[in-house]
Amino acid sequence: MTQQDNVWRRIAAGIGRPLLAIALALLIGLVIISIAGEDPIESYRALIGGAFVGRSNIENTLVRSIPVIASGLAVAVAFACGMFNMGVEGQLYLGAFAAAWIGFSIKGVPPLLHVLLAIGLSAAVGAAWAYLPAIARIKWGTSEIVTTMMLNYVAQYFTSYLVSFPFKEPGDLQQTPAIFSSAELYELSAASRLHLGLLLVVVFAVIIAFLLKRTALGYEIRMTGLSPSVSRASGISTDRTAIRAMLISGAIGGIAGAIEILGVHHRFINNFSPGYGWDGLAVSLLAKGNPIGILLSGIFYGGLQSGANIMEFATDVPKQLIDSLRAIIILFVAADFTGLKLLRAKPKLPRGGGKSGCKEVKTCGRSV
Amino acid sequence: MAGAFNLSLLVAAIRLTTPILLAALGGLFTQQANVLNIALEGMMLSGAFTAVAVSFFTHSWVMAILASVLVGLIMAWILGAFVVKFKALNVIAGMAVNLFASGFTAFLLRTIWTNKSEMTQGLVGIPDVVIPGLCNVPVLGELLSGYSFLVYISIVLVFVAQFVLYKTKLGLRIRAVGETPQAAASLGVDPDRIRLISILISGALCGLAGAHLSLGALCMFTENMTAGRGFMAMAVIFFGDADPYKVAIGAFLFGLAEAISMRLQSVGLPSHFIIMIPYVFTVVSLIVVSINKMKAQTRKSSES
Repeated sequence: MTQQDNVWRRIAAGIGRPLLAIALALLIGLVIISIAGEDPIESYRALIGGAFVGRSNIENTLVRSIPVIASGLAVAVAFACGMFNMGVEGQLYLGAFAAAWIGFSIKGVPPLLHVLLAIGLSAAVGAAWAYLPAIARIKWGTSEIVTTMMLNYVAQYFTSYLVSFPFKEPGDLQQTPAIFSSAELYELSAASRLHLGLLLVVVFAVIIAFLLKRTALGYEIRMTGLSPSVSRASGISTDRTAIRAMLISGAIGGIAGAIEILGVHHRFINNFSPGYGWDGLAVSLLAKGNPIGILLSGIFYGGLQSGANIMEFATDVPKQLIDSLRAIIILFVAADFTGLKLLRAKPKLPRGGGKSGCKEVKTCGRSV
Repeated sequence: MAGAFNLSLLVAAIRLTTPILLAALGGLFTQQANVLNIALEGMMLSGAFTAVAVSFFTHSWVMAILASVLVGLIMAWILGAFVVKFKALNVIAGMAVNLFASGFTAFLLRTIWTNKSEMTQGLVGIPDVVIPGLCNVPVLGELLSGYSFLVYISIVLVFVAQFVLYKTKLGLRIRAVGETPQAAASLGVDPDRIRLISILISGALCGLAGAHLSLGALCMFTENMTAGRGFMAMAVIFFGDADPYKVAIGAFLFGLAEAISMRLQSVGLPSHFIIMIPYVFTVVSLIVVSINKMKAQTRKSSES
């Protein structure tokens, strides 16, 4: 009984903060919409209705949330190990191109095998792209935050080159030829292009939840994330664990791109991602890295996106307002307001000799 | 091909260097205080929008620049409050600032003006500075005269940053907090306060960078017009190890790469690898720097 109470309390604590942040952000949005001279109630009705009411709206929301959820899972695995994979966007681009390449260059493969080949290569490419930052961090202590972020641009420009020159389909558009239908993910709904990728990301979320909570590798990953020194003392090879976590993270990032190409676009299109990798980071944060939570926060995010389009259509409020509100949600979730009380109680004493300023330094400054 | 590499390429490179340089000069202060600041992009974008909006309503480019700096400061203050006071991870808070800036400026753009010409009609841009006498000298005139006002300011600011960082009490404190916050705290310096100040400096300079982009280089605001220059500035800071002179050189290399890639694009050649070089170089130099640091550390520990 008490154990069950604990579970509920933990769930309430996990959901309470994000919900509060969302409520606050919507409140701020309400004020902004009013100042802009529009009707906030009408706008929000269109936003929420456009996201979650009616079959086609729900399907659009789900389509939009699939790559975000996959990216969120990628971020979560690295984060569990105390590593920041800011390079999901780049891994996603490379994975997407790899999948498209398998899709349009190999002919006559049985459907299931074709999809598996494409996803397999995208995972390998994504993992390879995450390998260099991981090694640099473990071996020499180079901040993986910065290297992964810089490599995003390299990946993006590289795929942009591939699709503009060697693999460009003749014509005006910067895109590759279409993939063969054997490589396409099964379409669940023709109107919204909802595809089998939805099922895939749910399966991935469950697998990753299982991996982190119930396997030896998952235990080592979480221990390394919590306390590298304790982990080392108890015989865990933290270096190897951290590299594995980054490889898994990169692989999922690559797969995220593959799913989007095989499911929606059916070809690689230059700059096709509106920042799925970054949205994944936000979604992962909102769910505190919990894979099942990422499913929920990912759908919420996808809903905001597709709802914003409907809102813009129905009222005169530009959809970018929702981007600002998303940012406010992230900010509030990331903040720790308990510090406020401490500050008030002892305003003059420098706390903890100044170590307190940046969590960054504590979690990511030195080699694991 | 050879015709592409001439004097006007250098002039274009200098023009493209300025926004990156201004943002990087700001960001190097946070870097010296050991605060990873990924919000340069967002603060720059806010500055760019503010410059256009204020110029539109007041018809004064001076007011526009001042307002941009002010808005850069406000964004930095919000970032600083969340990072320093509320202990948000600075990567996350910085990302949120970027997302907010991108969303909110686009929202305001569409709320205030119905179309582009309505905006550009009322704008007063930042004037170009023609250096009297020099402007008629053949090569030097083209190379040194006729840039927008903030181009010259950015060069002056390189030396100001160098001076502040290495010759003033504030600079010493920033570097001390960045290196060993405990030691600085034990000497009565509040590390959180210094971190906040360094973030504010970065905000002010990013505001300036934004104003140059929207009112100096162009005379309009478009959605996400910073186009990753804030992240280029970050790369430059790491490239130059947060030293003002080295950062200036790094910013110029980025500007040059951008100018070359624009040339190549205009004649239909692949420019992707040229624009990639600075990022690859940053990653490589980061790794080299950390290898050297590691070697120095092992040497130190083996000596003792």
